[in-house]
Amino acid sequence: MSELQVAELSKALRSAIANLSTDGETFEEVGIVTRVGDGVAWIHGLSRCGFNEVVSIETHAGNVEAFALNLMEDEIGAVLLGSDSAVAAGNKVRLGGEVLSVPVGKELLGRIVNPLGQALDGGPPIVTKQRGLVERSAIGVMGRKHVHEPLMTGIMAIDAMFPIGRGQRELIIGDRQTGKTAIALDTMINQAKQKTGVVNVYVAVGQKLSKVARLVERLKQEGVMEQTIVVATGPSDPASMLYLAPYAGTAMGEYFRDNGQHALMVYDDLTKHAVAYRQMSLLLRRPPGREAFPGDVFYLHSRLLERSAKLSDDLGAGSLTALPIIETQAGDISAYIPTNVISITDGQIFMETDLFYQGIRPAISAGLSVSRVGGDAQTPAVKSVSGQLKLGLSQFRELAAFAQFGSDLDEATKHQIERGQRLTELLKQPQYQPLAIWEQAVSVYVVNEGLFDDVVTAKIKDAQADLLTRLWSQHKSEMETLNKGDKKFNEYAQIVTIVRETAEKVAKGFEA
Amino acid sequence: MSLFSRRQLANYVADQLLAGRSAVIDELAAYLVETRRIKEADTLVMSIESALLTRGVLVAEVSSTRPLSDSTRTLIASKLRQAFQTQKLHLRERTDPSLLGGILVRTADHEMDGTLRHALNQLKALKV
Repeated sequence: MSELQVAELSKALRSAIANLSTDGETFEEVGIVTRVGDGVAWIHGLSRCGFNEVVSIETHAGNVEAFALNLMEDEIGAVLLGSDSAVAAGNKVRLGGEVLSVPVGKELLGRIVNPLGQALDGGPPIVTKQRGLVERSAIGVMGRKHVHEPLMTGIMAIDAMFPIGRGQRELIIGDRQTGKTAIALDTMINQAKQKTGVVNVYVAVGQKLSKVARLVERLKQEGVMEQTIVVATGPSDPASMLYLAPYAGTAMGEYFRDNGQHALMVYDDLTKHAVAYRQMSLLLRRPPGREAFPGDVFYLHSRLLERSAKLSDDLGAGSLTALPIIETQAGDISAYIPTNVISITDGQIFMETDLFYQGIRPAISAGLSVSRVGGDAQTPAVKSVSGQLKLGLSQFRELAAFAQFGSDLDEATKHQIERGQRLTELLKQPQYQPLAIWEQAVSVYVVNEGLFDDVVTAKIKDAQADLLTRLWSQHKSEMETLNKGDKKFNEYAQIVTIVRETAEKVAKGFEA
Repeated sequence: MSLFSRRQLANYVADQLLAGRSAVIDELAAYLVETRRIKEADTLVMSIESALLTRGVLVAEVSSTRPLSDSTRTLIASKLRQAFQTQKLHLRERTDPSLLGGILVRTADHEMDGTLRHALNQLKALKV
């Protein structure tokens, strides 16, 4: 065969398919609905149906789609993607011939969609060039690279002590009302403030829609919405939608990962996701296990989070970072779903109710939080000053119990306690105010070096703000150099001198 | 009494029918009553028909608005034999004015809807 013909082969085959004459109607495989209820339809027939395949049910009010999850000897259990009110026994069912996919691409940026990729924001219908598989296997070993670039959250306590790298999975875990979503939201805002170019995908699983609306409003206010996709499901959506939301969102994030860009996934929250899957599984009559969750609830989350990765240079070096959120009951991290997700992720940020009500916000527990792979990815300037920060805080925790016996302590202990109190105060940070690299490095440096030792503990934040304002207004170009953060703090000799001199001046204004 | 799956029952009945034992229907009826599975009768019939198809016997139902002419019947039969690659064919005929026109051919697992009603419904779905 000549070269020309080979080159045209695909075209020829396509035109042959298009022109294939099928004299009128052809035989189609059809099944019938035998039972329906609670969002699950049981179907007889369709012997060629595949797992996770989309089937279409003909009802008097139009077609309703479902996906086949239980393939059994005599019947198929399919979970409906819409309302079950129109579906009745006897309805005809046809095979869709494909597994679930969603539209993916840049066109989704700034949009609010449901897990099927349909617009929920009242905007024009979403038309994309590509579609992505909702269920897709994760990248293999050779397609990956170790996590080495930082993903700055802008939250000093995290970036300094539990750094997150691009491609990492870092769990945010804590009781209700401890600021879990706030951490994720600040991280998203920081991506726009620091112009990192990281695309945010926020997946709301069964969240109150008022909360999602508030979050979107805030994202718009901060100018982050243009680089954000929101996949929203509310408590009134069918369990199948809640189940699909994280996978659909990941498919949208993977588009950016696979095109050499960086994306950040926020799954808010996976507890509700597991509950939705439990509901589906029980209605599909799968046997319940611990806490009535089905046997494959670990696989449910492991296959989702394994799709977050830092790709190798051959694959474009893109990354997908995940911040899954888990809500605990009364601080119990040893329940079933929390332990599962803790073991899947590369570390966790543990939020404590007590800290929250003591006014230490973000209420991050320094003892229980950990980041297993982020160290390599930490910005050198922040890393060089944060070692002492962790040390100072852990020494403070050991001694904190003695703090109330202030007068009976020796000088060294007293000094450590005071340093700890200053550091704790320093790590408090208001919401929606992520800090840049230079701000973090300078703040930690001055407290660690004892330059603020004469400042009253309660005024640490004021002193910090004053210092940062002075540095930015008087030494903008030096701070911009420091903001690159690619060297250890002490290696910026000139900047160190500037910071020390300014800090000493500032400290005088806040002495007791 | 052990419960047999619908597929097991269908395979058994199909084998027996092909062996010429029509009494198997009575046995099946008794079994369904005994095991309180009368509700499954319709789906079981479909299963038996599809089991018969795998054994080379096609059972098809042709619905049309008026009775089929001999020539149409022969044409349909030859088309069915060709489509399903079988020699043995049992045609069941039904008239249904609500189809408006054309024919609907249905086997256990497949159907070919060439009726006017279907075409109009599709048009309606497109409009919505």
